[in-house]
Amino acid sequence: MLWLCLHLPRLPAEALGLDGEFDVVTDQRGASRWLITAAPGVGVGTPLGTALSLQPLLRAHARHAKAERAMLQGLAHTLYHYGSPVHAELREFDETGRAPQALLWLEISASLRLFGGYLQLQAGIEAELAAGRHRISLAVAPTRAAAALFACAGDGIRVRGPAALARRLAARPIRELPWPQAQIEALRGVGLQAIGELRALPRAAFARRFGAGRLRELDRLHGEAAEPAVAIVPPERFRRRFELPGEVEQLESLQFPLHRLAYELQGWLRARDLTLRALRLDCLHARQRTSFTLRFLDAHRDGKRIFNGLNERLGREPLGAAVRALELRATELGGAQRTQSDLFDSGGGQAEWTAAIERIAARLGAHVLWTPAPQADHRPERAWRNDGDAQTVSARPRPLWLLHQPQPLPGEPAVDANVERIESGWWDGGELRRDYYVAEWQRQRVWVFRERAGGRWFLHGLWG
Amino acid sequence: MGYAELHALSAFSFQRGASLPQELMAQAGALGYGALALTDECSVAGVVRAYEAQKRLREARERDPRVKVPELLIGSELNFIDGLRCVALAETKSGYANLCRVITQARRASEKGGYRLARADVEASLVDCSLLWLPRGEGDEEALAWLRERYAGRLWIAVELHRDGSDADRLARLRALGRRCAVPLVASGDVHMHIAQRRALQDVMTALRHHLPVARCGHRLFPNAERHLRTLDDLASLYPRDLLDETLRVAERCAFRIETVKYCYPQEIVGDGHTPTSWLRHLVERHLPERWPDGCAPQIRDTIEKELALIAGKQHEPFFLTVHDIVQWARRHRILCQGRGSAANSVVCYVLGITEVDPQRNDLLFERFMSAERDEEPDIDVDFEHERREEVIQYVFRKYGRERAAIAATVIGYGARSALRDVGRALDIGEEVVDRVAKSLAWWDDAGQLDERLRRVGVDPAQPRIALWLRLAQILASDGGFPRHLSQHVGGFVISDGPLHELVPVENAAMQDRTIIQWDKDDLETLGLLKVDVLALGMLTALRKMLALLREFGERIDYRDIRDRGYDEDRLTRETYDMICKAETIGVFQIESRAQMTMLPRLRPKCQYDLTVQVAIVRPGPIQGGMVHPYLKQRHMDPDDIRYPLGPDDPIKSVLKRTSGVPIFQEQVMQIAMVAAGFSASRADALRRAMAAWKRNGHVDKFRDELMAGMDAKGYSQEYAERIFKQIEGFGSYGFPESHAASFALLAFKSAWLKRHRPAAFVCGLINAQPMGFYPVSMLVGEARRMGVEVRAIDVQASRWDCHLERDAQGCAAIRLGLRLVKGFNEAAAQRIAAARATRTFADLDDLARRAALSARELDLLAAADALASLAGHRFQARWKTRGHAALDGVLREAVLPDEPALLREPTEGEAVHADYRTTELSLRRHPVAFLRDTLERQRIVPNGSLADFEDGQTVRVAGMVMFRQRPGSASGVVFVTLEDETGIVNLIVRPQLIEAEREAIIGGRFLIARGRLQKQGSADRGWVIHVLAERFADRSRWIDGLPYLSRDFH
Repeated sequence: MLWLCLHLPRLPAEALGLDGEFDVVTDQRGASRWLITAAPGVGVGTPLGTALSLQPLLRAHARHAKAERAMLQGLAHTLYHYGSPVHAELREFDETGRAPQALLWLEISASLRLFGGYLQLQAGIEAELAAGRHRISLAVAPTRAAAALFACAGDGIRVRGPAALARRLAARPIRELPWPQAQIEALRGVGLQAIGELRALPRAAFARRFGAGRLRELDRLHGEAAEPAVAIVPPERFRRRFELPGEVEQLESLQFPLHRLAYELQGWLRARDLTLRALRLDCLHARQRTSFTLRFLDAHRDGKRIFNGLNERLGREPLGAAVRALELRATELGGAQRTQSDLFDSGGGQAEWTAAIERIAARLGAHVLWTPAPQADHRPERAWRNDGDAQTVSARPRPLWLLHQPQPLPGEPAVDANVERIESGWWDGGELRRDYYVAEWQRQRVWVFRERAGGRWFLHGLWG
Repeated sequence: MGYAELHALSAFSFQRGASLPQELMAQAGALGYGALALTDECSVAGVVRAYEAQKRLREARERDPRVKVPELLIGSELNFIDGLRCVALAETKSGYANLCRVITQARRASEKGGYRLARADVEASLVDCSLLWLPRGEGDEEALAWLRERYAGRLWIAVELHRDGSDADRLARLRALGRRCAVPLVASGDVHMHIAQRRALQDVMTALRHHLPVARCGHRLFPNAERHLRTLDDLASLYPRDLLDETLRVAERCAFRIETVKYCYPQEIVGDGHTPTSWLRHLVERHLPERWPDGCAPQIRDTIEKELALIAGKQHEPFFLTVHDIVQWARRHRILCQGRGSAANSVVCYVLGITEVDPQRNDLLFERFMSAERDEEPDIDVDFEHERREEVIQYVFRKYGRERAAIAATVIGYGARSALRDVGRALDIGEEVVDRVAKSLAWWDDAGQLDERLRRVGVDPAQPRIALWLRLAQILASDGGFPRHLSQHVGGFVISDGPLHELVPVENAAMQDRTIIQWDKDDLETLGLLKVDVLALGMLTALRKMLALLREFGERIDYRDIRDRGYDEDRLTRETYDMICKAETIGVFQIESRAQMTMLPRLRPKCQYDLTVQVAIVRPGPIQGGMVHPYLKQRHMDPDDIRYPLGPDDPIKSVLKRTSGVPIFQEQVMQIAMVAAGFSASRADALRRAMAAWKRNGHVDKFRDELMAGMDAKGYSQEYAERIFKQIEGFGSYGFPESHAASFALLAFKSAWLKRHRPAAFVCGLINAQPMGFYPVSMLVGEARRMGVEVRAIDVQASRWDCHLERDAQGCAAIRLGLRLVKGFNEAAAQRIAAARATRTFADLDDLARRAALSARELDLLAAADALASLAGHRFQARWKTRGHAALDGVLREAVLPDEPALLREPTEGEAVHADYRTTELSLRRHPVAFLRDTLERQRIVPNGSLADFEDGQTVRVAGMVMFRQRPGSASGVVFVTLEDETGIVNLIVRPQLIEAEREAIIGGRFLIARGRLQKQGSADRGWVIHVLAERFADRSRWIDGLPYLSRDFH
């Protein structure tokens, strides 16, 4: 066995589509929150508070583990044809201050010959992933555990034989072992620094102190125990959802996720040895979705073509609303498996129909239909809204017909004795300072106010 | 026309009121109100501040008769659990006592900060109070009827009109209700702020109360700003005349004035058949021979008579007797204590054993103690050993009961950070930004430089939301800070003869078994209530421990025998002072700080009085007032050569003669005001109070003109007067009264004597009394070794919980470090170890673990601290063994499992040192910096110990672990950073501009390299005072990765 391991140190950021230098992803346990991706001047594991005081420009984003897992899975598909079996693991640590390890393994002893040597293979993988702008660190070793350890260390180590493996491992510091910090500390507390030193300890004595499980892990690392794991097989259908970090309104900001999705689709097509005839892209907004279908003149599996196609399609028809997530699915496939495309055809038809309705609804505009929802705000203008949930409010009497804009009155109206003074809203720039009265105006009962500053009179509502 | 506001809440109704009591009073005066009732919710905590504001208005009226002074009525808004609401106003003293009792009862029935009031609680208790019923809406007539049944004739319906659109309807409804129930109506304002402009802050308070951002508070906010003190015209346009007139009638009924609160001393401390006067005299006579076995000098006798007469004249005997009783109790229980404070200056206190300052040796100012014409209350603070003070506190509670003794409150106010946080929460600024801004404020930053700070962290102060945030936070943090909650004072007791809660409400403190009153110490002083300060002093604990260590070691030294016996007469005294003059004072009480050490070689104290001056002069007050240099200059001059502005007959000379023409003590400043500016005694006392409360209200300023004018009239130059005023300002918050300084100087001498002559016991006792003092244990241990004391490592075969003394090879005392230094270890386990060891020493690790019943964690802590070396070999070996042992907990405890031996290498010295620091914060091996010396030398960095070889002004590079950061208030923004290497320490002076430029290194660095200019003063034989004026920093904290954060950062 010869394993190529890829470690993706920035996967938490990549899964959120973050590309900025100062964008960091954080994990959280209880009250403590720490960085799991690095930024200039602050490393992985730094508590967020500290990181902010060191690097005030940071933008912190909470981690989205599901998205990370999905992306890792997608990458496994993309790399499927470079080796087999393929394994993936998102290693989590149950300790504050630690970052997850996103790992992919490919068994490459067979494919090495196919690609004409490791360097070609590596170049291929790097080219493939460069398109998706992933940061990776590679290593090769006869055991999965060792390959992962080397990949995480980031030194680009390649080892083939067991003797070389033992030699290389012996020199690695024990803190590189994916073990709980307390155990690493305990080992260092007795002066042990390199993995080789662990092997020199009496096995029973070691197991007594650190558990038989750790001993087995050391054996696996050295290829002296089996490494069971479930291999990844690409799914039969391609359907990927990409959650955007926030609401996106500009097409330019969608380029990056689109690019990702396109190349993931390409990876899947290659892994399944299929070609693409048609796809569907859904842009998910707050309350609706916009769907686009894209049909290619001939079946292909070119990520660039997919990306360009999507890009053009979106460019033709501007987005109606801010986008929160993208969903891409392959709706019609080419190649040997005709039957499947039939299946997708019917689904596609359905989807187009829905899309048509949604498009009509979108053209009419959601704002034409609304239910007024009372809001707890002293300011009459803000006491109801056309979106959002109704709040239970025990407000002062208000006229049912409130003018959109208060109308200035030419003179002082004859007002009722009860004045209602409203001074509120200083916090959002909508400060009002008015004295409201019920008045008689042109034989109507009206609601008027006088500005506290300036003393001008306005008509604001009509009583029923 | 007139108006009395009968319902006003201040900021002491926490999270409701948006103005301080003094602001309300000042505004009520400005508007010409006849009276203002401060009616905080179930509290009278703010009344004294309102009273002080009223006093200021009175003073202003003396100058300008047009100034209106509203009467201050005392009351409280009471909200019952069933929804009934009313305001109770004290009509008479007994009404006030009843109100206090109701508040106390409600407060004590709830946990800290809350209250619980049921109708049953006021069934008949609010006698002699006027009640304003606060209607809530339709259908609450039942509540009115209930009140009327009990309080008819002193009950009103409060009509509070706030322009909410239904004023006319409300008035009509209440009029009808009043007619039906035959209850009169009165106008009131439900005031929450003194001016309408506080509306935003009031909304913030509401938001904080509901834990919601303002924007989501909706109708929880008041719709407008009408709940402020409105103008009389405005009120007249809102209310019918009769309702306004009624306010004055109610105000007239409420004749109780807070200044009439009088306090009765407890009476039981008087012996049978004695009056307090005769009992005090009896005690003085009884104890006199203890101080002067051969009889005292006639002038001492005279002074005693004078003092007793004074005390009798003011009927203060019980106060002295109370303090005497507490001190006696502590003595009987072998708790060291020592008094200080203005009254502690007296011979009576010395005779009674309350103080130790020998009036013959210290030329104390007896007049200062109390004067007949000055209406000043005696003040005695007693310091007790900090570890045993709780026993004293519980004695006081036991003796007088919870009814009669309680601790004064401390008002916890808003500071810049807490204000930013709370307002930020209310404005929904976002935790991250608030965090970012609050964190970027270092502990020394002023809110004033906030804008700059904000820009640096990427927040735009010009953005409207941010600007609002800052503006509101600034109001909250201004004026000494809005109150946030009440906490307990460090130890100020109020003890009364009758139930305390008739004097002031009592509520629960956060600590169990503690109750606090609703006033803080300044309030008590303003009202002339006496408190006895039962304070904690670490040095007393340390001293007792030192003497106990010596006793165990076979040497009995009496605490009282350690004293100044004259520099020329006594060798031991001389050697003590010589050490002090060389600034070898690490660990010595009060004179161990960097600032003190730089001053010692210059001031060269040689007697107790020199030490008293030394203690007092190196304080922010005198330093800010610029007293230090004149004193240094004039100290050795002939008193007759010292020049005074008005020549040799200058009255100031009489005040400053003893301190070489420079004011050093707080009371001298007052005396100057009297002799040089013609202040009356009471006016000078007002000045002193203003100085003490300077932070609180900033009213020293108004004394400025008066002082300047007074001094001008007496012929002093403008410039000299300015200087005096500046000194007064400096003394405001930080000056020491002479008696404090004298008491502290006594302890300074005692600790210095022990350090010089019993260094092992000294350092050992200091370590055992930690946490206290200025220096970390590592530096104390270093100091002991520098003085030739052998210090032995923590060893489970020899160490106790505390450090103790062993005999070294020469039979001298050596220090054995104790298990208390092992981080995370516990005292009970240490006791078990000591007890098990007493039967026989431990044979091996298993023996230790079993007989001392140690847990796996405890064993590992010991192994990690290298305390098992004698049982289990070097640290790695020991930790390996303890870990193996740990697996045998539980049922298998007794079983012996064979364990293959593992061959583990020995730690390197560097590893060992780092591990020592991690587990005990010190190492007896080489200093961590010693390992870096080669690297440092390559960078031409000078060891701290050799800095004296360089010339003043030379540029040097120094390096070391950061041990201290200090930013004295007196040093205009300068930060002092102390670096330690294996040869000693160096003090860096960091100027504000450099702090901005090298902020990260200066705030966060653990190991720093600094380049700067050497400042060197002194001489080789008298010792050098060396600083480095830093110019550049390099943060090399990574060189000591693995060492814990050691720096102590002082404000």
